[in-house]
Amino acid sequence: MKDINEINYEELMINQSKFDFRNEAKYAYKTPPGLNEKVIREISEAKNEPKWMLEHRLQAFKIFENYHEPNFGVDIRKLDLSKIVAYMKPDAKKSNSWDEVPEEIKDTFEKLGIPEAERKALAGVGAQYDSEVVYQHIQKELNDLGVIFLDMETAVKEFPDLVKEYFMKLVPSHNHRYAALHGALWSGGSFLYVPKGVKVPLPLQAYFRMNNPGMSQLEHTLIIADEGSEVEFIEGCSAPFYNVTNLHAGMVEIYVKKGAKMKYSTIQNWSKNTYNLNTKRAIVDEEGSMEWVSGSLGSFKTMLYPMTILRGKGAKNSSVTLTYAGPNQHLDTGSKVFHLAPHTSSIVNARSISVGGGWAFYRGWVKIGENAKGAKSSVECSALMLDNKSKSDTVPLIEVFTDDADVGHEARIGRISEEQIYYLMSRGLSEIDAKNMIVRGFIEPLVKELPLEYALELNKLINLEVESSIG
Amino acid sequence: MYEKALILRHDDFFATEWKVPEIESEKDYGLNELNKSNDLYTNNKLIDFRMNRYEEYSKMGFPKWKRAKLNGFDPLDYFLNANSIISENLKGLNEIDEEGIEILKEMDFDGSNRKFLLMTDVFFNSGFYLKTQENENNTYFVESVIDEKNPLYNLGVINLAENSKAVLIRFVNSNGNSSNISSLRAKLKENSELTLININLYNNDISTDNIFFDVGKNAVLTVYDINIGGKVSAPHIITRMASDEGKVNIYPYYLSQDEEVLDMFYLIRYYAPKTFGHILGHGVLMDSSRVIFRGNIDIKKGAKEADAGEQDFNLVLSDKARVMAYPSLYVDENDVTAGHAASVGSIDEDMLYYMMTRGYSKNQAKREIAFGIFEPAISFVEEYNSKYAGELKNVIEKRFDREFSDS
Repeated sequence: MKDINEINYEELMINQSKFDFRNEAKYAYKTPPGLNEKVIREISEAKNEPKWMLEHRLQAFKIFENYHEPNFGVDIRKLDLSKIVAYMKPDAKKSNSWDEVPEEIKDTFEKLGIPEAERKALAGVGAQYDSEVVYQHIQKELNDLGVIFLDMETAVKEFPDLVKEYFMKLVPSHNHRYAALHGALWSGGSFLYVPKGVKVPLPLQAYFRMNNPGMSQLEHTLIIADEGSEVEFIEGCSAPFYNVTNLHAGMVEIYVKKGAKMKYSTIQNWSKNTYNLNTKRAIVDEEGSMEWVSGSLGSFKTMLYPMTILRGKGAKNSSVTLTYAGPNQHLDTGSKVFHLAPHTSSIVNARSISVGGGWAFYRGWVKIGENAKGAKSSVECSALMLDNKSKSDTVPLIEVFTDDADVGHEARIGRISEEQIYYLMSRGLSEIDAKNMIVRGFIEPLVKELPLEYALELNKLINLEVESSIG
Repeated sequence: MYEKALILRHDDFFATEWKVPEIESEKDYGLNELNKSNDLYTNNKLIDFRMNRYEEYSKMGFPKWKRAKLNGFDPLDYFLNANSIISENLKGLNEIDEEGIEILKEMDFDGSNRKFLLMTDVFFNSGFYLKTQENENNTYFVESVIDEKNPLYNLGVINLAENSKAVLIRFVNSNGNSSNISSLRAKLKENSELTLININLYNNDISTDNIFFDVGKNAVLTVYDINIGGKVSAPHIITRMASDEGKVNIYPYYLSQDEEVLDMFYLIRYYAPKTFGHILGHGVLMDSSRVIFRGNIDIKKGAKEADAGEQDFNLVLSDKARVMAYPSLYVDENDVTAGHAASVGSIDEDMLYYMMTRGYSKNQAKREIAFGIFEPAISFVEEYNSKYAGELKNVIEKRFDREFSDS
C-alpha cells in the first residue's frame, strides 16, 4: 500500500472548468469605476427609483465613507474599490420566458443547468446576470395563492409599503462597512413574500452570475415567510476567472413569522479573483424555524457568517455548512445564532475541507441572552485537512447570559486517518474507494440537505477521482 | 521578535488583527520609580535588562479591554518592596545568573498586554530565580499578601536542569483594593518536570499574571491555575513546545462572585512532533460576575502526531452571570489529533433531586455540587502544602456559604 502522505491530494481539488467559461463582455450601460455620489445617482436614475430609495442610498453612502474596515477576518487591504465598477446593466430586457432571454446569456445559464433545473425541480427562478435580473418566473399556481416572487427593483415599485417596512431593517447600513456599501449600491436580487399558511411545494431559486471583469455584484434578497408558511429558497452563484478583482457584497434578509418554516440553501462558487463579503441574516418569531444550508466553495477571500436571531419563544435554527478552501483561497466563514427568547434552540454543524494551501477559518458565535431561559444550543465543527500545506482554524464564541441554558460545543481538526483507511480496506475496499468514502461521508450532512440535482452537482464539484495519483 | 499570543497568517495570507486601544495614565511610573528601584538591585545585567525594557514601556499606554470592562489602568503608589516571602531554597533576583538573564531576554512575549508584561520586567518589587541542578527534586513557594500599600510586581524566572524536578507554589492573598501584575518565564530542559500551582485569592483587585513556558524534549509540565475573584483578573499562560515529546497539562479553576470579572487566556503552541498538551478548565459563576475563557491550541507545521485537546466546563448559578467561552483551534499540520469542547450549564436537576432524596436541603445540595468542582484542585494542593490548601478551601467555602445560605 502506498503511504497516504504520498498521495497527490491535488486530485481532490474542485474542478472549476465548468464555471470558468465566459461570454463576450457585452452590457447596455455601466457606471465608471469607483464610488461616489454621482455613481449612486446614476444607478438610481437608471432604475427609475422612487425618491425614498435614492435617499436611502445616499445616506448609506455617507455611512460607508466614514466607516472603518472590519477589524477581524480576511485581509482586504488590496481590495481597491476605486477600480470596481459598481453597476453593469446587461444587454437584455427582463423577461419571464427563457425564450426571450438573449442567446448568449441564455447559453450561460444553460451551461449552468438553470433552465433544466427549473423544469425538473423548482417552483420558480430568478436569474441575475451582472447587476440585474434578466429572467424571473414563478409557477402560476403559486401566483394565484398570493406568493410574490419578483426581482427587487420591480418589488420596490410595485410593493413599496412592504419593501419599505422590511428593506435593510434587519441589516441596517450602519451595521458594518460593507452593509453600508451595499445600501448605497445594491442592484438586483429577489423579493419573496409567502402569505400566511401557504406551503410552497418546490424550492424557488435565485442564480447570480458575474460575467464581466472588475465589476461588483450587490444583489439584495428579501424574504418574508408569513405566519405558518413554508418555503425553501436556493441560491447559486458563479463567475469566470479574471486577473482583476471582482467584488460580491450581496445581502440576504429573511423574516420568519410565527410558526413559519424557511430553508435557505446556497452553493457559492465565485471565481478566485472575487472578494466575497456577503451578509445574510434571518429573524425568527415564535415557533418559527430557520434552516441554513451553505456550501462556500469559491472566491479568493470570503467573509460570511449567516446569522439567525431567535426572537420568538420556541424559535429554532439549524445551520449546516461546508467550507472548501483550495489553493490561493482564504475563507473566513461561520454561523451566528442569537437566542433572545425562552426555549429557543439551535444546532450548528460546520465542516471545512482545506487542500492545496487553502486556509479555512471557522468563526462562530452563539449568544444566549438574558431572556432565553431554557435555551439549548449545540455546535459541532469538524475540519479535514487533505494535505500538509493547508491550514484550518476554529474560533467559536460562546456567550451565555443566563443560568438556565444548555450550550455545548465540540470541534475536531485532522486528516484522513490511516486507521480509517486500513479499516475500510480490511473490509474489502480499495484505497481509493476508502478515501472517497471518507470524504463523501464528511460532506454528507450538507449533501443530504440539498435537492438531489444540487447534491449531485456538489459531488461532481468535489472531484474525488484519485485513481491516477495512486496508480 | 517575541512569541506572539496569536499568529494569524498562513503563507501569503494574513488575517486582520484587532489592535487593543491604549489609554495613558497620569499615574504611570517613570524614571523616578525606576531609579529608586535600581538602588535595591546590584546585578548589572539585571539593571541593563530593565533599562532596555523601560524604553519600550514608556511609549505605551494601558489597554482598554472591552469584554473585561477594563478602561486603562492607574497604578497605585509605587513601593519598592512588596509584602512577599520566598522559600529559602529560592534565590532573589540579584542572584540571577547569565543563563537566567538569557531566559528573560529570549523568552519574550506579548503577555495579556505588552504594557503589563513590561511593567513587571521594569518595576518588579518582588521576584525570584529558581534554578535546579540535575537530578534535583524540590518544592518551592512564593507567598504574597497584597493591599493598597502593597501592590505586587513579581518577576519570576525558572531554569530547570535536565532530569530535575520542581514543584512551585505561588500563593497570593489580598486584603483588598490592590493589584498584582506578575510575570514568570520557565525553561524546562530535557526530561525535567515542573509542577506549578498558582493560587490567587483576590478581593477587589486588578491583576494579570503573565506566564511563558518553554517545554524541552520529553519534559513534563503540570499547571494548576486557581483564580478566585478579582475586580478584573486576567491570567495569561502560554506554552511553547519546540522539542519532541513534551507533555503539558493545564488545569484552570475559577470562581467569581458579585461584579467580579475573570478574563483568562491559555495557549499551548506545538512546534515539535509527538508533543502532548491539554487544557481542562472548570469554573463556577455567581451573582453578576463575568468570566471570559480563552483557550487556544496552536499546532504548527512539523508537530506531527501532536495530541492537543481543550475542554472548559462552566457552572452558572445566577441568571445575571455572564460566561464567554472561546475555545480556539489553530492547525497548520494535518497529522495530529486536535479537538476541543466547551459547555455552559446550570446545576443538573436530576443530581439535585438525587441529593435531596438523601436528606440535603436544596441549597445544601447545590452547595455540595458546586463545591465538588473544586475538590480535585484542593486535593492536589493538599498533597504539597496543607496550609495553602486550607486557605483555599476556606475562601471557597465562605463564598458558597454566602451564596447558599438557607436563611
